[in-house]
Amino acid sequence: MLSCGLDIGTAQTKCVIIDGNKIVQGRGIVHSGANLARASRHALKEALTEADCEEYDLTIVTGTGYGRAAIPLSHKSATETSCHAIGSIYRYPGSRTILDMGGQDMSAIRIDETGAVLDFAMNDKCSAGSGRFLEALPDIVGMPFEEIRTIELEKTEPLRITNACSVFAEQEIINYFEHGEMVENILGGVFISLARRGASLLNRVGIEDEVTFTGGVSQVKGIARALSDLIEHDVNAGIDGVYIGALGAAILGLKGSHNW
Amino acid sequence: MNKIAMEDKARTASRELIQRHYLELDAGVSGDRKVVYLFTSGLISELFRSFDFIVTYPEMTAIHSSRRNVSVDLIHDGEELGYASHICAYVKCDLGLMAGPRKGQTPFGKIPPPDLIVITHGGCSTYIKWAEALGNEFKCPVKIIDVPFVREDRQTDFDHVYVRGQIEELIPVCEELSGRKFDEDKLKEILKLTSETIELWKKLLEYGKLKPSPFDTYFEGVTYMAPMTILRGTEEARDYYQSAIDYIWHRIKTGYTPYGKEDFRLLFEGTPPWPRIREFQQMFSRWYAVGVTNTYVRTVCAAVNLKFGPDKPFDFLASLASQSYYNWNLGKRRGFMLDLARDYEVDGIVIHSAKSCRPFSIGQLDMRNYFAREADIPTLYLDSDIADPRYFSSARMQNRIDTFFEALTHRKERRSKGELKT
Ligand code: SF4
Repeated sequence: MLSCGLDIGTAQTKCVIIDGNKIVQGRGIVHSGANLARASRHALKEALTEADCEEYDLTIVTGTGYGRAAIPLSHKSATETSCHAIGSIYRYPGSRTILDMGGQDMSAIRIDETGAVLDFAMNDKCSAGSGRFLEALPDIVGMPFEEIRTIELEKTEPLRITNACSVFAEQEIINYFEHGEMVENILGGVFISLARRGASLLNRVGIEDEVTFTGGVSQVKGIARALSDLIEHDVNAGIDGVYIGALGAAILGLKGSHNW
Repeated sequence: MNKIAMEDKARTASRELIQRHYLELDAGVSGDRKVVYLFTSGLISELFRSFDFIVTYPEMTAIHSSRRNVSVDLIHDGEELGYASHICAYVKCDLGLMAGPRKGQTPFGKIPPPDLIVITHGGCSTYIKWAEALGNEFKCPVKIIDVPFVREDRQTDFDHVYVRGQIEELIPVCEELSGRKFDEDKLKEILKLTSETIELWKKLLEYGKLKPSPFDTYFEGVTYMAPMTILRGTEEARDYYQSAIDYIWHRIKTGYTPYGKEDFRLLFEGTPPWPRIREFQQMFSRWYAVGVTNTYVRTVCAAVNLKFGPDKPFDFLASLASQSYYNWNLGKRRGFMLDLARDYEVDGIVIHSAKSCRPFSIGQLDMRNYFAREADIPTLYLDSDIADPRYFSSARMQNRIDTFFEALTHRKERRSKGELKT
């Protein structure tokens, strides 16, 4: 049996294929762009190639994310909140609180030991402090995302970025550049500013160990570290955090009980 | 479960009454009758009806404009007059309409200018500025009844006397403007109608306790609520609620439920996003979730815990003015909601917070935290706006609502398996 999860977010579309034992067989990730159906096909193709199988080998396809309604391939769907909960409890079984930071949305989720959502909170309509800003960052600071992602917060002297709004924060960054500040220190400030938004959302649902950080933004080491410092809890995070929603969708596909 | 398509007679009748109200305004002011603008929170329309004033309500016009999808144009007109984006959308709608290029002309009729503006100031200080702006525009008197905030569980006797005194002081103002002498018997008669209407309204809303509920007290209730505001103190309003009860009885007898079945019972808090209310409703109805009770229609203009009756007209009016939900402290609002949640056996609470209505929205996040974390009642917090559709984002809204119901579904499943006690 092969179950496929497709997470169509505002920035990226992620695909994960798992077998009946929940072992990941293939993954794919592409920019969502304007044509969500095409993005989902491309992400799926990548994952199928990695899993070395064909589309008709898939038993079930489960969609999640904003574009879930746009996937012609999916058999069922669920919100990304539920999928991040299911994906997190599988990836980090001790998870009880999750922060998912995606392209435009951010959610704090409290779950029980089965991965059921007990409470959640999301950012309001303004996407200040979400992944959108992070996407623009390489151009603003002139550093590739891969490099930004691996910067160690401890090795920087973070400058103060007071604005959560991407537009104003960009102006602050440019000001710092004009004053000859080092890019690492500016980025340290950006990490803390983004983490602060996440921390306040987490406080809204109440923090309980273990805390798991998911979504595209969670790949940035410096933000995960800043978050951990701010909330004074250890944080599970890793390079595969971006796939947790799709993984959760794939696992949900294996479960018959939920009719979402 | 049934899927009988039934004409909503209470809705049709309510719409006809609203339509008639605006047609009467549109027909112009005949004879020597004067126009008074009143605000819905702590409404005391009965006093003005006893002097034969034409009574109308800027907020209701803003709501009606929003439901007819013209609010965004009016809001733009309001913003062009200089009112900032964060200011109450009702205010911008109304001032855009009355002081902007349209000069009171709406698609549903022309609103006549006021001869008098009266606010019962409780809970919302925006009222004062709104009324003053209208007063400046139309060069008419503005009377403010200062209603002290209900700090404890109930209003103090001292505050009651203070409010009553201010209402009594309105008598000479009304006499002079209307050219009529105050007639206490007439006021008592009108208040008797109000008292009967309130009782019928409360009775109607109590039907939400039935399982399944015969109607959605929020999404259908907001339409049934209009006569309570616009026509309170008239025979039409009283008769409307009597026939609404008869109609709901018919639903009960035929086993009708608004969405075909009832999977979730909800308590709603807050004013709905009027311009997108249908879409908002569908986001819930697709989950077969029924608003079996709510704070908004339950309290608007139909004060709860009224202490006096029509035989003491000024005490009754003071009580109506003071018991507005908007004027309650947060603890009292929270306690009221907890009682409703228990009495109506709800599965969850939905709070719709309005971006541009600060006085009422403040504290709703704390409420959410209290219900979700301390009272263990799943609570969904949503924010958009009452009249400004620019704050309504369909995808985000649907996403939050779907997440909430996925969690509720899981909770119900676990409870039915005996894995959860509560
Ligand atoms: S701010 Fe809120 S309470 Fe005040 S007038 Fe506007 S909608 Fe009503």
